[in-house]
This record gives sequence, C-alpha cells and structure tokens, in this order.
Amino acid sequence: MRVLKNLLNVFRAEFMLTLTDITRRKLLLITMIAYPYVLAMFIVLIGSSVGSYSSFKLRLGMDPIPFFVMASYLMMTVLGVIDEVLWRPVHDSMIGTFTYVILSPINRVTFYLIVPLPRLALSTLLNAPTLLPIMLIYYGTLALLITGLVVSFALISAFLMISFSVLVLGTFYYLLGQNWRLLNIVRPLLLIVTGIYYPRYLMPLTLKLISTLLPSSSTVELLYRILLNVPTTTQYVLSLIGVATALALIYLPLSSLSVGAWVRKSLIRGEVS
Amino acid sequence: MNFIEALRAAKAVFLAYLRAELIRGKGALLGATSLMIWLVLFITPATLFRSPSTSLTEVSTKIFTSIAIFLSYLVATWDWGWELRWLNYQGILEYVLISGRGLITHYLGLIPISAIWFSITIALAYLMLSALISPPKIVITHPAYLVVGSLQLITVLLSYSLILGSLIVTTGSAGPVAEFIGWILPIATGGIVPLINLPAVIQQIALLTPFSYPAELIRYSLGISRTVVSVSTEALVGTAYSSAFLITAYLVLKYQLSKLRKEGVRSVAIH
Repeated sequence: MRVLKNLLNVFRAEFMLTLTDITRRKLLLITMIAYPYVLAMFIVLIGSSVGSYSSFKLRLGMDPIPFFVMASYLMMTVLGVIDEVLWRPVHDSMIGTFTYVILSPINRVTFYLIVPLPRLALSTLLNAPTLLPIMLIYYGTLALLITGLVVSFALISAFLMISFSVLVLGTFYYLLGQNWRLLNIVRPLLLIVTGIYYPRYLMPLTLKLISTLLPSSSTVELLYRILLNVPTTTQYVLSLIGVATALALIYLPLSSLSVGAWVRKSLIRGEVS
Repeated sequence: MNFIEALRAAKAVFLAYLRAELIRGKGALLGATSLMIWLVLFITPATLFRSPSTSLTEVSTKIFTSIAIFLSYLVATWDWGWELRWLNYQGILEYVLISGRGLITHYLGLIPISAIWFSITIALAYLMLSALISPPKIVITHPAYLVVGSLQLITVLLSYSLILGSLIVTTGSAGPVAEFIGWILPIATGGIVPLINLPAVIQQIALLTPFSYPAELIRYSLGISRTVVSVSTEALVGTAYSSAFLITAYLVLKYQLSKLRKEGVRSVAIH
C-alpha cells in the first residue's frame, strides 16, 4: 500500500512538472503540435524531388502525405518516451537534482519507469487532434477510425518501449557514463530500427532481425500492415502482439538489473555530484 | 582596437572552440555521426518515391545537394544564431559586449569552426549516401554561378543567424522554437527542394525571401535543376537581396544589443 502511494506521489509530481512545462511555454506547445506536419513535409518534399507520389503509392499502397504525418506522429510519441528516460539523468545533472534522485528512498527502476508516463499521456492527448484534419481530407468518414487506430497504436508502441528504454538507460550509463554525445547517436538508431519511417517488412534482413528486439517495432509493423492492407495471417498478427508484449515484460527485470548496476557504480565512484 | 588585436582575439575564440567543440570528447566525430544517423532516418524513406526510370545516382545526387543546403541552414541556426543564446547562458555574452571587441571578432573565430564542422558532415553525408543508395555525382556545369550562389548563401545565412540570435536573446525564446525555424525555413523557401518542383504559390513566396536565390543558383550550377526565373536574374536579384539582408541584419543586431544593454536579458534558462 505504501509502495503504491509512493508511486502515485512520483506520478503526480512528474505529471505536474510536465503539465507546467508544457503550459508555461506556449510556443513549445505549438511546435510540439506542428512537428508531425513539418517532418512529414521535409520527407515528402525531398521524396518528391527525387521521384513521384505515384511511385510511392505503388510501392506502399498509401498516399505519402497522410502516411508521413502519421509516421511522424508515431515517431514523436515513441521518441518522447525514449527521450524522457534517456535524457533524464543528464537533465537532472544539469539542474543539480541528480544527487537527490539517486539518493532518494524511491526505487530508481520504478522512478525511471514512471518518468515518461505523464509526458506520454499529455503529448498523446494534445497531439492527437492534429492528425484528424489530414485524415479527414484523405479518408473522409473513416478519418475518426483511422486517427483512433493510429493514436492507440502510438500509445501502445510508446508504452511498450518504456522497459526497453530503461534497460538501455541502465546499460548505457553503466558502460559509458553521462555521455550526451553518444546518447545522441543511440536515439536516432533506435528510431531507425523501430521501422517508423521505413516499414520493417521492407527492411534488409539484418536490420529486420535487429528490429525484432524492439517491442514497439512489432506494434508499428502491425499498424502499417492494417493501414497499408498488407496481406497478413491471423497467426502472424498474434505473433507480433505476443513478441511485443513478451519483450516488454522480459526487459523489465533486465532493466532493473542494469539500472541497479549503474546506480551502484555511480555511488561507488561518487558520480552523483 | 587595431586589426592585429582583433585577429588575435578571433584566434583565441577559434582555438577555444576547436578544443571544446571539435576535439574534446571526440565532439566533431560523434556530433557528425549523430547528425548522419538522424539524416538516415529522414532520408531513407525518401527513396520510396523513386520511380523505375530514375537512376540511383540521380537520386543520391539530389539528396546530397538537399543535405548540403540543409546543413548550411543548421550551421546558421545553431552555430551562429543560437551562439548568442549560448554565450548568454554561459555568462560570457556580457564580457564579449563590454570587452569592446564586439561580436564580429567572436564570429571571425567561430566561422572557421563551422567550416570544419560542415566539411566533416558533408564528407560523412557523401559516404552515407554512397553506402545506402549510390555515390552522388557532383558535376559543376557553371562554376561562376556556383561561386556567386555560395557567396549569396553565406551572406544570407549569416544575416539570418544574426537576426535570429539577437531576437532569441532579447525575447528569451526557447530552443524548440529555434529548432522549429531551422526545419521550416529551408522547407518553405526552396532550400531543400528545387522551386520548380514546388507549387506556384510556394514558388512566389520563396522568391519573396532572400533564401531561395542562392539555393536555386547552386542547384543550377551543379546541373541538378532549372531555375524558375532566368539565371542572370537569380544572380542579380539574389546578390542585391542578400546584401540588403546583411545590412538589415546588422541594424537589427545593433538595435537588439542596445535594447539588451538597457533592459537586460529576458531568460537565462538553457532550453
């Protein structure tokens, strides 16, 4: 009961911090909402200068504009979780709170598992309506259904990514310390492997195999298979759901081990200041 | 302050940034690698647009030019524009301002750092495209226009960064806003895609800004695309426009710095 109360306290504190951060900086809120469109525009414009919409449509079976707006929305949601977890120690160090976090009585793994939840909830809620206009233009009456599907899959994909992100956090900081330059290499690599912009079923075999290690890559693939009408057997659908859930669960104890090792190393070496 | 002293100060800035940004912590290598991986994330899906009649070399060359121009904008936004904010955050800006050397000396030391950074990233972009798609084929068909276009690009980007930087410091705007401008500007002004491939409305808007002219000239000089107005007009109007933009930027910077001296900075937070 006490543990639960502690968890709720952390969640409430993190939620208020995120909410204040988002509402205090109105321009940040606007940029957050506009980002899926800007990124989509970037890719579509480069794409159209080297080829054509029709070639894309022929290859993927979907118009590039809604596809990339949707993919960018997915990317922003998943990246939100990755960033909240991976950047947190760096951010805490910069503002001088890392020592307090490490020395606080709350379980560190639990703390890092909770950290991304408020931003995930808030950003999904705030960004979801931005998808609707573009879907209305392209899909008319089906827009609400497609938007709902994309938002749900984005939430699930980001949620399943939490335990993996905490595992990466523990392992990364244990091996390499607070090296933000290297962290900036890990972030886009995770996004490439997730198959958000370049669907997994089109990837080369090696990348496809690496991709299966990320829980959200399976859910993203499932979403694309549904939206792009890729023939898929029920067995394969179930295997994607199964793999995603199993991996997210397997990574939980591993993340606990890695964060534990990192925290111990930090305390022994006195890296908390 | 005489010229020799100014050069000495610029050299000190150059050496300080060389050690801090490029050498220490393998900054240049890791930063450029990170940027390349981000570009891979956004560039690879663009290949899904390729039609069977378009060669891989053509695709690669066009993407390479887009990356080069986009990287120039990145340098202007983050190395030059955001620099004033960073100096402010580090508590150095006041010292730079009251030292009497002025920001020009600081930028004289900074620009070679940007040039080194740009060269490393562009080389990595070439390698990345060669590995993923095909080696880009760079053929200079009109060298004179390439020189004019490049000079225009440097002038326009320096002006843009001075305006952006001074506004960021005096208004206290956040990093995500600068990041957002860094994305939207090259997209909306024909920096990434030839104007000929854009809708007529965007073409007109882009031509009203000084940004489109150098990008169009550079692409034309490399034989990548035609220009929407005649090349000589692009060169003439672009040169006049970029010069006027530089003068405007200087005046804006002067005004904002004088405002800063009277009112102080709005925010000292990092983000």
